[in-house]
Amino acid sequence: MEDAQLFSVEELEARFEMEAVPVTGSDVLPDWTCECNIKFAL
Amino acid sequence: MAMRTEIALPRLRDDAVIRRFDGHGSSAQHVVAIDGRHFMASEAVAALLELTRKSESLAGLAERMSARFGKPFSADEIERVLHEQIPAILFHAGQGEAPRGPLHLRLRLLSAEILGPTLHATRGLFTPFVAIVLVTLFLAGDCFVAVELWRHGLESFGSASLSGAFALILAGIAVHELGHLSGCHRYGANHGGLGIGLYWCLPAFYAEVHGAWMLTRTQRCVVDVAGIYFQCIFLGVIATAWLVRPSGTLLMVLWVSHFLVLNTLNPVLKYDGYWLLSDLSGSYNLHQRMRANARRCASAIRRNAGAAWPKPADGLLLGLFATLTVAYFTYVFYFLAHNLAYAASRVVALNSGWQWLAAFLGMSLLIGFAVGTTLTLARAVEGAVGFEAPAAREKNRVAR
Repeated sequence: MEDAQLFSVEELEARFEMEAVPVTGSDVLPDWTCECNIKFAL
Repeated sequence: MAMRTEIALPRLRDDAVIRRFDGHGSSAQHVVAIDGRHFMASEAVAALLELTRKSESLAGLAERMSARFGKPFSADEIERVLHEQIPAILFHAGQGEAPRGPLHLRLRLLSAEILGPTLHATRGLFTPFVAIVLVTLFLAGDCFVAVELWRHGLESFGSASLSGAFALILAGIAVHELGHLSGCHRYGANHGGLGIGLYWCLPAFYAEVHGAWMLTRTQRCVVDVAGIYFQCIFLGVIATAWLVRPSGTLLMVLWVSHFLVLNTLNPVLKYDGYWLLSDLSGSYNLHQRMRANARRCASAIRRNAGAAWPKPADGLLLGLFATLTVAYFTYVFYFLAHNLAYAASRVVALNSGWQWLAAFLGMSLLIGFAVGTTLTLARAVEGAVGFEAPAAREKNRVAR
């Protein structure tokens, strides 16, 4: 038991410094509307 | 008496680097770096690894270890440690699998080589004078924007271009990641590039700063906050542009980016706050340590035989972490419930197939995120306090 503590080794977690990309939500992005018109030339 | 067969002595690879870890532990610990992976080794393991480079036989190695630590070590004991406790990758390339990281579907967008000139050019931003001036300018810009908003109101700045704002927000996140890499470059630590991946079920930009483990505690903290520092410089420029020529798009960029900076400071998930708390406290593998300390507390509360409370410093860190976890997830569930209620209230007013499809996809994403968050949280709590399902508890009782 003492030797297990004396000879201890463990892998460190990989360091990825992250920042989330915002996903659409009413708290973050305001409401929006879009409009589309198609005209046919004859 | 049978002669003991001499077993080949494994030798620490030439490209492995050992450096003392700047942490809070009372006993000396060392970081061993190899192939972009890092291991925390006790004083005895670090010495043993170094001595494998200088010894010819197990008996000679045991002798050197005995002389170094003032206690006898047998060749058998040393052999067992080398073969059973120390990861094989430290002796032979390509041995053992790297542990799975927290990110899935990882895609590197820019490599360290491509970013090299930019990182070199930005290393001057890490002097105290420059940092104080730039952060002061950012805060001043924020104050001017707040005063303008207070004077004129939100509505008077026109509509926003969603795609334009999103592009600028993404640019700000890329600058943020560049900041972490620039910090690493400034202190001479190895680093990778930047990319995008899935963390939990959310898309996230990332910077590969594994080499930061080799830095001092203060330098690690600088690398941790460098992302927000760079993003603040970026937001200072956006705020100045908005003050010169107000627009709804720039205002949306400012608003969402501030929200992102606050979110990234939370230490519960592996965003900047997690690494900052880890480095400020001189700890490592924080999630794992929090789970171990939570299990220790649960065991002590149940008065299990041999159970002991964590050390005061560990208990304090656990308390802080648990408080922030509760606060963060309360916010996340409120956010999800609020958005679901908002989406549901809008569904009744929809009148085209495309709108129904968009609403269906949006609500599915929110519900999926809510279910995923709940399950992950439940698994984390189960792992932390060691709850057993009734059937498993019964089985264990029978086995005992």
